[in-house]
Amino acid sequence: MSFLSLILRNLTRNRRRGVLMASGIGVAAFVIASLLSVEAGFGALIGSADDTLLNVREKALACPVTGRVFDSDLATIAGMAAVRDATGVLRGLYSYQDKKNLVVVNGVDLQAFRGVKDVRVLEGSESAFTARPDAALVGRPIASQYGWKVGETVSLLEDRLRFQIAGTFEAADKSYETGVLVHKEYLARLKHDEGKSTFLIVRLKDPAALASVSRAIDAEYANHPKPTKTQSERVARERELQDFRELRRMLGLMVLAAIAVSVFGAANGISMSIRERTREVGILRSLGVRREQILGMLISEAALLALAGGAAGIGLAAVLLATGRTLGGMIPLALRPGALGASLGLALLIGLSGAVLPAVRATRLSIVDALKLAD
Amino acid sequence: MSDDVILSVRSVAKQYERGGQSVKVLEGIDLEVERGGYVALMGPSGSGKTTLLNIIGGLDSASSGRVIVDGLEIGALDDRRLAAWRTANIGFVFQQYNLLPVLTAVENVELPLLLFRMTKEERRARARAALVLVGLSGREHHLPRQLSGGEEQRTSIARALVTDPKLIIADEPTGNLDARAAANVLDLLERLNRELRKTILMVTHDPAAGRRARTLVRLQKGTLLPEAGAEVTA
Repeated sequence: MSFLSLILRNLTRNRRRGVLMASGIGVAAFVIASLLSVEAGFGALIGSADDTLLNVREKALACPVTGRVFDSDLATIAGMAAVRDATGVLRGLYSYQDKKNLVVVNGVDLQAFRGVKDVRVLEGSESAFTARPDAALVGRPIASQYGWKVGETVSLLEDRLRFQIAGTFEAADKSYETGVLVHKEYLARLKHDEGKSTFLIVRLKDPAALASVSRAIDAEYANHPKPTKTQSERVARERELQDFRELRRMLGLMVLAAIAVSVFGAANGISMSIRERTREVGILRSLGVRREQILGMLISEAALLALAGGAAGIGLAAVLLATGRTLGGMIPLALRPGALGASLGLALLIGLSGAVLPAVRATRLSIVDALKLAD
Repeated sequence: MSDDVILSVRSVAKQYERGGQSVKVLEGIDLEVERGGYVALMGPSGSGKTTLLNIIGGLDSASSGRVIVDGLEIGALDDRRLAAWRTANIGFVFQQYNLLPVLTAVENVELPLLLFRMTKEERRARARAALVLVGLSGREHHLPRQLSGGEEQRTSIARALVTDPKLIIADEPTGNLDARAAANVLDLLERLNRELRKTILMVTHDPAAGRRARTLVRLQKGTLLPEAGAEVTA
């Protein structure tokens, strides 16, 4: 017998209520851990953008995947004094086996793409990729997610796109690692988009030339059927993710409103369980247990309950994030340490918010008054 | 105060402020109890018996006057020291038993020992010995709800004994029990007083219980009345 065992007994004395309270806290921790991890995924994606890169997209862009820019002026752009390299990326979004498994497929000229993005082949070989028109390099995370192996043929969207895996890769820009690289000509033929890109990537010799080169590129395309909008990759990526963010924000607000109810229920349950035991507080004090010891026990009990609920919610979030891996095939998902800390902190806060006031009240009451209370 | 006197209550008064008015509960209480004494405090409801008991046990404070237990004036102790003093010196037996429902009989008895420096083996051994003393050796792992009223009260007496206190304070210890269980509890208290020389101060409504004590003291309207032949100086 110890004070700790008394705390644990009290935690389990009303199991149904204990489970309900812990569940309320768990739901809150789950939602917060998930939302913060998604937010951190956005941050990682934007954070890996390169400040010496420009992104050239169709000006009247409705969707980051369906917009098109003509490749015809790539040579002109590459010839600009402040430009080091320029290449086009044709992007497609395909489902794999199930509608919710979205795969981003980037059609690239690998050699030119390497001039703007650092890509390192891991398993397999680059020569195998070069040798086959339908070859693909798959990002390590997506290969691991779907269990794809080198040499395997993969079919996407009811066989509208089929490729053979020549190797896996890792990239400094994490947004590419969650997708697949194929030959641009191959993808363009399948999509009937020869001579077009979804966007161009331009590497500058000097980041200070960002504004002037952007203006020059947009001027070059001004009289094309599809005029362009050129901006830094970071800004472009933020814009690309804007829709996701809006969706996440709206979803987040709705879910937060819902969890407020369960949080209130959990805090109220904790508060009630302490108020009900005011007489027992009087018993303990009559035996000589000090106010601060009892306060510590009551608060520890609430904290343990909150941490148990929080840990369960965070565990569930970690499993679901690890299973989902990416949001929309682009945003990498994983439980981030910051999200873990914040959601555990929130769980603790909920527990303590329900416990502190009634615990202080119960221990401040005179022993005689506490003992007069009915069980 | 003689060495034989364990409890000395001097000019104790207690009044409450209620609805803007002062209500006198105790007035001018003087009482001495000898070491090894067994005193029954009787009186009608509202006469201040429990209030006096609570003041003596350090659960409540007097508005004026002094309570001296074994040479120590407890009114001078702060909250923290008073709590430690209660643990070491007073064993409480309540009408409602006041056992913690989540703890077994032996754990309830062990509870006050958590406040002493001793190993868990020593704590458990002392708690078991106290249960044996009150005749509950086979019930140590039962929860309070699995015990009869008499067994619960005997567990509470074991808890009061386990710290070897200087004074056992019992507030209506038979008030919730049937006649047979009440007689058992009174037998036990009498035995503790007679064989172990435990000093007991008991509040009771029950004349039969009062007669078991060696000294009978009556309270009326907050004032102590001496009983003829009492060993107590009042």
